[in-house]
Amino acid sequence: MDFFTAVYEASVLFVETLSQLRRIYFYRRQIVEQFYSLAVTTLPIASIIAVFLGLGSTVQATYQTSSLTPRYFAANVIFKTLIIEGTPIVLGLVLAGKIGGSLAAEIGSMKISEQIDALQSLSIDPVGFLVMPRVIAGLIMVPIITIYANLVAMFSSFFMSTVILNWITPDEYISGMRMNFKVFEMYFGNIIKPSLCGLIIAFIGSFFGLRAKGGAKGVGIASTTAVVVSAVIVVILDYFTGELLL
Amino acid sequence: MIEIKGVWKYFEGKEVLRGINLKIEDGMTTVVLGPSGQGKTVLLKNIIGLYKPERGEIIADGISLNGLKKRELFELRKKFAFIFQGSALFDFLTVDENIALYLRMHTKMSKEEIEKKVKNVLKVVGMEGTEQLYPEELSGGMKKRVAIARAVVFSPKYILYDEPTTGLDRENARVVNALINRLKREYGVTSIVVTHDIDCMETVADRVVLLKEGRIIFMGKKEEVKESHLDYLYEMEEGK
Repeated sequence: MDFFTAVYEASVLFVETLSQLRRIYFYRRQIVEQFYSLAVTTLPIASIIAVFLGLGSTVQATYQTSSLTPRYFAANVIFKTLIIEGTPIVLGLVLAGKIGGSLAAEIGSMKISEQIDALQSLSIDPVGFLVMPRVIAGLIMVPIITIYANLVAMFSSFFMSTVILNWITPDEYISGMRMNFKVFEMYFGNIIKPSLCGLIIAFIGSFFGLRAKGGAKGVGIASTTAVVVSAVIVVILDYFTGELLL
Repeated sequence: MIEIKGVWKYFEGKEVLRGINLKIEDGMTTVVLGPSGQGKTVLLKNIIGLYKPERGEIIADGISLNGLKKRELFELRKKFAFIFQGSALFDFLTVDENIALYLRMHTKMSKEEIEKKVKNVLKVVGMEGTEQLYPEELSGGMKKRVAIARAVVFSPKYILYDEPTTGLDRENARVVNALINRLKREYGVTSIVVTHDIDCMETVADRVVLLKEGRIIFMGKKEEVKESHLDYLYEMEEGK
């Protein structure tokens, strides 16, 4: 029963968030602040993850390929795996923890300290002031961070393969990346999937934050639930977007 | 004027307000007195539309809150300011940003005009020089005064105070009580003060409402409440 109530309440909040889009100019300052906050808090962690994703996938590729496998083919596998699947899903899961958890905790503590009520008493809509800017920031900034992370991951893989391991020449690596290149796959891995992840993570974090009750314990529960739910949805979304769009 | 007509409110099946009938006269300070858990804050939140009554209605300046759309309710709320028990200052904003928020969001005032107005209200509450501080850097009494500044900056007709002196030492409580009186005197504000502090009631009240288990058991002048409900007041003092 609680599950269905939560789904209903989330749907109502989602519609309210969409309806606040028409006041996007009114809340421009909050949106810019969220863009900045999201970028500053996630770029360092995205950089570390991207570097090691590139290195890890290269180590795996060199380990799995035999002497009969063309090396440019392995480079192609690294490239496509990272762009379409590896970076978006790993980053999505990490950001579910980082952004989802912190949004739920932030909004949850505002809820229990009556700051949400205070906003309403000042005739300021909490959905427009808090939720919509965070959802917009998630929708736009997560793809930007993913594009950056994909670039870093590919560069670290390229560097590892061609300089450190000396396993493949730069020309072979680049021809591997160009092999069977599809522009849509770039949109898919860099924009479509991360946008949906960003939207879901920011929305779920805000939703559970607004539902928080009962003091510090309630904020903890809201934060944990937001992380778990958004991580599960990110993985499910990963399957369905691949199944439907590729 | 605010009219509260037969308001009932339940939480998880428990009756918190039981048929409250009350008229709040303009320009007066009405103190709602009672120990914790009697429904005082719930009553206040019903008046401003943060809670909706299960039965009955609240009419502010001739407009019933029942059935108002969100935007209409937000428009009506511009006549009200609410001072929360824990002050509820936005912890991600500095003192001046907290106070300026309403003006930034709802008026077309220039940055300079807003700054001037913020400085003025900070002077009124005796908090000059704290503009750049964050709420976590303020004491309880200072937070309360900033919350009052945030409330008066947009010149509301009604100010609702939820336990304004709770948790404050005698000196800070005296300052807050004096501010409540000053706002009524100088700005003609209509105030509803919810408290269990008898000193606060004695200092600010024009009219007293005594609440017990969600019902009004007394309504009248402060001199009368002391005569007729002395035992209840003692009980309240001991229980606070």
